[in-house]
Amino acid sequence: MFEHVIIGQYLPGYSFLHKMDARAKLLAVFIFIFTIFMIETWAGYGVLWGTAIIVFFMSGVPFRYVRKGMFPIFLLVIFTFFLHALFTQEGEELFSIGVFALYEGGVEQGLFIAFRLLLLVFITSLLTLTTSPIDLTDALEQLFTPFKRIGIPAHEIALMMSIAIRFIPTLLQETEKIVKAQSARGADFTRGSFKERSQAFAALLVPLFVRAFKRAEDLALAMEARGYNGGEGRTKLRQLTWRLWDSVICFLMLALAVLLFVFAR
Amino acid sequence: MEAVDLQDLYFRYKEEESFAVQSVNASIRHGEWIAVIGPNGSGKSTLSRLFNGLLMPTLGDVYINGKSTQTESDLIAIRRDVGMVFQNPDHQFVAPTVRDDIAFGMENAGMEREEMKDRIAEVSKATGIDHLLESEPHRLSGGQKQRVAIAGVLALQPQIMVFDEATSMLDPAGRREVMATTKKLHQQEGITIVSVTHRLQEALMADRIWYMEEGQLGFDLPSEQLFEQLELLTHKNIPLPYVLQLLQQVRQTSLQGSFLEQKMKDGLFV
Repeated sequence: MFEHVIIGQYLPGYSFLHKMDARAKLLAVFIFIFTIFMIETWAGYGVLWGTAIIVFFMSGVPFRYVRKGMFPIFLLVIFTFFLHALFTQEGEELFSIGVFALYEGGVEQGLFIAFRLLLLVFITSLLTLTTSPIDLTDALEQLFTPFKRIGIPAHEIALMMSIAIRFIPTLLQETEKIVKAQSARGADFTRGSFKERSQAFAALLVPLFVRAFKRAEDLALAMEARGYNGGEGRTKLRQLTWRLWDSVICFLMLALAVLLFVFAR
Repeated sequence: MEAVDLQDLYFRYKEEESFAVQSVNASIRHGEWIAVIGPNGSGKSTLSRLFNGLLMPTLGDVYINGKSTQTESDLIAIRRDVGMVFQNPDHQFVAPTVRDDIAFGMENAGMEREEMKDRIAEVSKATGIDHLLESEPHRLSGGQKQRVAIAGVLALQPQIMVFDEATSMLDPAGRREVMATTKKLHQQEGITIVSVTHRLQEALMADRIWYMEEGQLGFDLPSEQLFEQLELLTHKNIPLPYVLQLLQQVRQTSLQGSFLEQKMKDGLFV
């Protein structure tokens, strides 16, 4: 059932985007998202969408993967569109049905928010599609290390994330085992009323959690036995390499943000 | 200096409980292989965890190369000297890939990256997993995972390795892999080995056998002498491997088959 699970939605490849340093990608995406929220003109959005589409072609990721990533928030986009369209009463009235009236300004505002949301998901999907979760956690750890002083435990967060990533497939395998064991005892996860099904799922979740706690205890012991002593004085086998191109991309992204901020806000 | 020296050792998990390990006095020389056997709850796993300060003695002392595990400042060095492999292959795999997992202990020790790479290449070859370095844990067999665990410990170049029922969750093939690796480490690298096990067949590969019962060291025998003590084992309800059962039966019949007996002993160590 879970044999060929891919963790996250990372799609291995050799494109320019895949080869970029994960820290650079994260930084560029941060700048991009910040820009999205600063810009409020159609011209500015045109440029941002254009940039996003260029980035998409650089990634070499087939469109269906991006679409798959964007699908879950589609409902949200439609919902926010109508919310804005119906409750912003500016400009000319287009038409009205009963108490609901659509105004020109409302539709424009709705479309604007919808495009903003789609753009956000589009660009972050591209990030997670082209960066392995391990690189992403390493990059987050390094980017957050300077903030240790204000109490952000960068190393611990990164370690937690990487252990979580490592155990996802193991937990899925275990879920499969428990589903089989409980099915053999007559549990039915697919039929019955909502109440019956949620009871069946309790029979799955309880053993899963109990075993996860036991596992966590054993893992802590094993880590201690191997000399784990917190993040101080630790070295890392994995290394991210920052190339000239990474600086160039970050610089271009920053320049774009400044230009848009000055000319198309 | 002995590799391990247990002096009047007592341990209990909680104040109100009875001792899980009591009045154990024993020592292990460098390069020895000790097998610890005994029924469930006899304190063998607890004993093994006292070796590297995962548990601290309630009374008495554990000395590793003359250093007490209770000296806070020596603990890091002791944990590097005493490597541990645990029972469940899935519960000791920390990192997302084999390579990262082998590196985990070395990263903790703050080792240089180049040295880590060299050692990973070395220990993965020694444990026969060099073709699996990029693999993720859920794609490995139990035996392979245990060999990764051994490699991860080995990378820290320990003098003593403790196997806490490391083969008990493996299938026969996995068990053979792990035992062969252990034997190789003992013979070629001269590593001192303590293996806690349920299986007498595995225990017989050791130089000496400790039998634990109710937290105490019941007997401490060179493994060859165990052949003369088969009644002792059956008396303690320890299931004998097939060859030993046969040996016992041969002895019980009036056959004075010393030739046959020798053959069987030889066969056991193949």
